[in-house]
Amino acid sequence: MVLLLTSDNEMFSVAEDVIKRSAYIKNMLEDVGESDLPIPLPNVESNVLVKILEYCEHYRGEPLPASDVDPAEIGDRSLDIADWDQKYMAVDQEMLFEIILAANYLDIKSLLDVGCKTVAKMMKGKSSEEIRTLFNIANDFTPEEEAQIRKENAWAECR
Amino acid sequence: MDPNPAHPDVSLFSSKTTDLMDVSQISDVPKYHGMLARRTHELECELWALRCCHNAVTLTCRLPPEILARIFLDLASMGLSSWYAPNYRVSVSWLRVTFVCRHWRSVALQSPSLWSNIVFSNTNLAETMLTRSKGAPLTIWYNNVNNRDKPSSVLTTALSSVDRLRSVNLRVSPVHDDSYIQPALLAWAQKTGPALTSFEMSCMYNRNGSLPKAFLRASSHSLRILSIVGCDCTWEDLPIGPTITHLSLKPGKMFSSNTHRPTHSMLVYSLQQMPLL
Repeated sequence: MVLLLTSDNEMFSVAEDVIKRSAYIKNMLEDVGESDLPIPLPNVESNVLVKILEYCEHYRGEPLPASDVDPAEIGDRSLDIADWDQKYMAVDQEMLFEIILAANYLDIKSLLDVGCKTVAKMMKGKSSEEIRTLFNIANDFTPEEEAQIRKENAWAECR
Repeated sequence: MDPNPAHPDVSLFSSKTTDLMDVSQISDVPKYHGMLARRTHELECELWALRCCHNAVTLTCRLPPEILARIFLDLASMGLSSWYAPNYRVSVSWLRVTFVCRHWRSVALQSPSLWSNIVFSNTNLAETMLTRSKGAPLTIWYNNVNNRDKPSSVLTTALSSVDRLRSVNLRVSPVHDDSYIQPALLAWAQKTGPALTSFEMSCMYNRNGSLPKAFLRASSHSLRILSIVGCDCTWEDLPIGPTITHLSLKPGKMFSSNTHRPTHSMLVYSLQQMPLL
């Protein structure tokens, strides 16, 4: 078992094969070896870790995804989200972004991938104003920037 | 209670503003208008700064820029699927992310990959994408059938960036396009294009376009997908190589006469050269 200590000082005891989906923890265990000391996770709160562990538990035993797809490359990867993943990601926005941040910190590539796709799907088909409303973002462009943006906005509407 | 802009509570205004609101003593109107304009500008700057503060603590602004950029890439990738729909056109509605706020725009503008799927529905857009993609590998999406996309010199420039081309998708009426596409295709025969992994070209309405001799030969060791429809090309000019996984050839003039068709031994030899097909 591996001990994890969250930022709000909660201790979790987790099976090694479950948490090894995190490349960060996996590498740490390989570097440090067996230890009774907990691994501190200063960037992850307990409620988020519970959710992360739910994901790792669900995919326990399944092979880790291939890491040869460059996330910076466009168009080469599937944009489908598995049914279970969709239900898993049906959380409030705050939690969704916390999951993405934790997946990034813990280096869980498949979870980060699903998180990013989920946010992208939330934006699909929406205008910039609708996106602002969705994520509570203010329009902070200066009038000069707005003028340039109005021009470019027409490109997005080209049919 | 929330402030009501139609009936503002003047007692909440700053002294700088209330001082300007007494119009009874104004004698020099142009000077007064100048003072009002300066104050309005100051307040606009304050508003702008407050909006920036608002955005600095939103959920999306807490994401590292590379993660936000990745979300944008996913959104842009969703638009690529419309190329395979009946209108053969890539949707660029993802551009709207650059109009949301300054932070998002800055992240998008600093992500060359996001701009690397060059579309030609608007010449200025194509030019801008080419510039913003910096050195990223390019994918060309061009369909001028029924004047959907506008041929321009940007297309020639993009197609001439041989070292950067990763994928080329052309759907053309050859008569209109020759002046923009042919020079680039001719140049390909002389240059190496190690990044090119996919080439798909179709000429519509049975008006066969012609491909230069030995065209793409330099890319024959990187091409994975090769699809040529309705273009004039002989079997021995096809850039067949060991990395091909998908080969699609449909008759134009190609193979219409015995001189263009492969012999049995040529066909067998070619198949041996494509073990991944």
